[in-house]
Amino acid sequence: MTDKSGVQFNPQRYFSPEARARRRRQHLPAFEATDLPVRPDYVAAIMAHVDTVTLVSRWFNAVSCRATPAQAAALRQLPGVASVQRWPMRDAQVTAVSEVARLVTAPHEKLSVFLISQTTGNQVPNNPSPQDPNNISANDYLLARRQVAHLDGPALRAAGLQGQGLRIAVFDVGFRGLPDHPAFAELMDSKRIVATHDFLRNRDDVFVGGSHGTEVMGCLAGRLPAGSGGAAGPALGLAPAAEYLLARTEQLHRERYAEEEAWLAAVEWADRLGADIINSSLAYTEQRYFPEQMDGRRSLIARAANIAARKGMLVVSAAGNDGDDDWVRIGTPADADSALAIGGLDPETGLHVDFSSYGPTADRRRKPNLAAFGIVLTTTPGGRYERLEGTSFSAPLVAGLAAALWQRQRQLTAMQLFKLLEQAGELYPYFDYAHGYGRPRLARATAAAPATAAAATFDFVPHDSLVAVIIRPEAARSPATDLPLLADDPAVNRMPTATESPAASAPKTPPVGQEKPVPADAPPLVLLPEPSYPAYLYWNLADRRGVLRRYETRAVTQRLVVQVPRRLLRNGDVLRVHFKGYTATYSE
Amino acid sequence: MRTLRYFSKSHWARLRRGGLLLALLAGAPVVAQAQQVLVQANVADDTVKTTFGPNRRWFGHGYVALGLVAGPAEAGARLRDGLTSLEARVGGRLKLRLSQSVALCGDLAYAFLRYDLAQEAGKLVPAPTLHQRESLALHQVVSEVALRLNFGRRGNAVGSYLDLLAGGSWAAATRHRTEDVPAPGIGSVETTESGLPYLRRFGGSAGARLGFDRYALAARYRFSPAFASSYAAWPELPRWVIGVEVGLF
Repeated sequence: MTDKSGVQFNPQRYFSPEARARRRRQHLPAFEATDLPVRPDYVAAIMAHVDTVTLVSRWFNAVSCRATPAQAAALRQLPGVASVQRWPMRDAQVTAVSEVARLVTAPHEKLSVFLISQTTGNQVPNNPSPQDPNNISANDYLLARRQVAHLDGPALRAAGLQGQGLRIAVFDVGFRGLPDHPAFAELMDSKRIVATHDFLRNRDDVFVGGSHGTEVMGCLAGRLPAGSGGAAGPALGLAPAAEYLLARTEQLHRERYAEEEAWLAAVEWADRLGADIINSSLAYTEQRYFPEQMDGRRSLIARAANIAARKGMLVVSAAGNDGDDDWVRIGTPADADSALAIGGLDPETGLHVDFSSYGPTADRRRKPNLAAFGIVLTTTPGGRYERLEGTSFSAPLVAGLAAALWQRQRQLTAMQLFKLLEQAGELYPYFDYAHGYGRPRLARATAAAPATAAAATFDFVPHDSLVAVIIRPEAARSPATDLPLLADDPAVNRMPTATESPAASAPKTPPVGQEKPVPADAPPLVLLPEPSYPAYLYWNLADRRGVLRRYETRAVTQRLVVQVPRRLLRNGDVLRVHFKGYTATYSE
Repeated sequence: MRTLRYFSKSHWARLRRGGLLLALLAGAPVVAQAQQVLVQANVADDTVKTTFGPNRRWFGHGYVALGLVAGPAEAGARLRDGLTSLEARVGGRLKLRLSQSVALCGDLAYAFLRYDLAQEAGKLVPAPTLHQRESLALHQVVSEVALRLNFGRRGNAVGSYLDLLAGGSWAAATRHRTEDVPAPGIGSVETTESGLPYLRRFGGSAGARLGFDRYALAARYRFSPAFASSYAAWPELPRWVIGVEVGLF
């Protein structure tokens, strides 16, 4: 079983029209070797020797099964079986892991048989307290509006960018209560849940089991209760108009390795059905792995996420909720190089929320990539809306934004969109392991000019032994702001495009009573309920490879804000500072 | 060979946010001038390979346990039915991992062991006299070693395991407590005797513990007699203690 030779494959029949279109758009081949099926005769031979085959993976050219040691020995003798590996692999089998990793790039050469051994672990479910669905508090309502607004949701809606034409696959623990929830009435009525599958029970009903998927979907396509007149309520996420593929890959209360197989099966399924974006609000950590294994190459799903990206899908993954426990760092698949890892922000401060996992990866790559609200109002079973927290909700918020941006620039490849989103981060090119590049902003998400040069807001002032960072006087002022007449007016919320001048895009606020019309040269209005945070100063010290040694975020109360000993800048280390959109570096 | 550099928990714990850290920064190399630090991390210090953790080479944690005295008693030493004869433990455990599936554990614990004696005809221990209630209690220091056999692949977690236990105990204090109603109008009279010569000071036991992460079921069998050698003729108390443990980590 060293090849896929002789297998019959017709991409026209295997891939959905959407999947074929995605590949064409991104100039990918109609199919590649990893898309070819595993040779049926090889699979049949394995099935004849073992009790249970749990997964047949095209991407890895592998079969996962349960087998006794004697059966495993027999499998090794079968024709075409290149290797039989205990799955999950032992620590001592690092070479074997590398071998499997190479299979990704050379699927014709070998086929691996994964053996399920034992499972362990548990998972603590989220059990929020219920809330009266008809009594959303003012604070929760404001949070719902802000969670969309902080990623420029009103401007996207005004531009008609709500994920139309995009397919988003959501992998989760279950979507209990989703079909009956009024927040998804529009989604269900328009039949935009195009496919569902439970990869743990091998059936199509995913609306049972856990409700975490329902909560995640709320941050993608949920809506608040409709207002008077039956109009659709305000969106809780940024892709209410997208199509969805819902996959159950995760079990409640247990952390079995079979979940990773289910994830792999689901991603191949999503690829076949034409998913553009995969949202994975899960992170596997210490029940299965050690921190030093979070290098994007160890776990099955991290490798699968990288393959998915190569096939033109954007994989958005929650960074994890371990920032305030012993694990601290990101989990997998957020550690995958091509997975967009999303950290959590505190809506009250706009800064890293305690539980959000920290980067970098074990091999010191930059993670998380971006950040979004980690505390949200979202949908829960029983038609309720509840305030929940977790990076599980940061990821779908950004996935929704990604869908909107991809809708606007359909020609982008998945990795171009990945880079665009990073460059859209409000801190970009500044980075730290708590915030990533910050929350992505629409105004910065232009492929032509991803990072418009901002005016300098501070200066480095070297002294004998210190380098001082001093904020310029003009940047130390807080400008007054004006309120729009209608915060929800699409005209008000419309963002200027790259080709428009601010004057041309000035909101057309209708006069009321004795109000005077807005002057043509008036500055753009504040987009309410856009969160308004004080201007923080971010600074970090990085070595010549870009690995951070130290980073801080400071509230600015005086213009002399940081002094760094110059001895810390030896050996090529770089001081990088970000304030009010301006990033500058200092090195000696 | 390149040395792997891992992040250590101790340094990650230095992450600080949301508070005034000016005082902490006073001795730091980076001078803060009346600025409020909201998020801070010193990644450069996190370069020590971690050897301490649930599935690292070394791991230590506290635990609490509660077990019921079980098993047959010899005639004259029967215990009252119910949950009143018990052992409560609180202690610490140090684990040395030898491989992914084998580890050694050492425990040091305080254990309170109480036998609630049945007051029935034929009672012999420690005397035939019947009371309203009567108990023997031992305040023990327990030392135990365990061979741990882990099952299944796991990450940095304790996982599922079977411990084979062997241990010894030293009774630091002993008590014999009786409760009687001597006469109408008097609620009760309690007497407590301590320093009991007839209870054995040193004991030995073996057992097994089946655990999953922080939770475990444990059963121990006492090999040594409950009573001192001078009282070898006394009927033996039940030898088993079966209960649950909760690891504190």
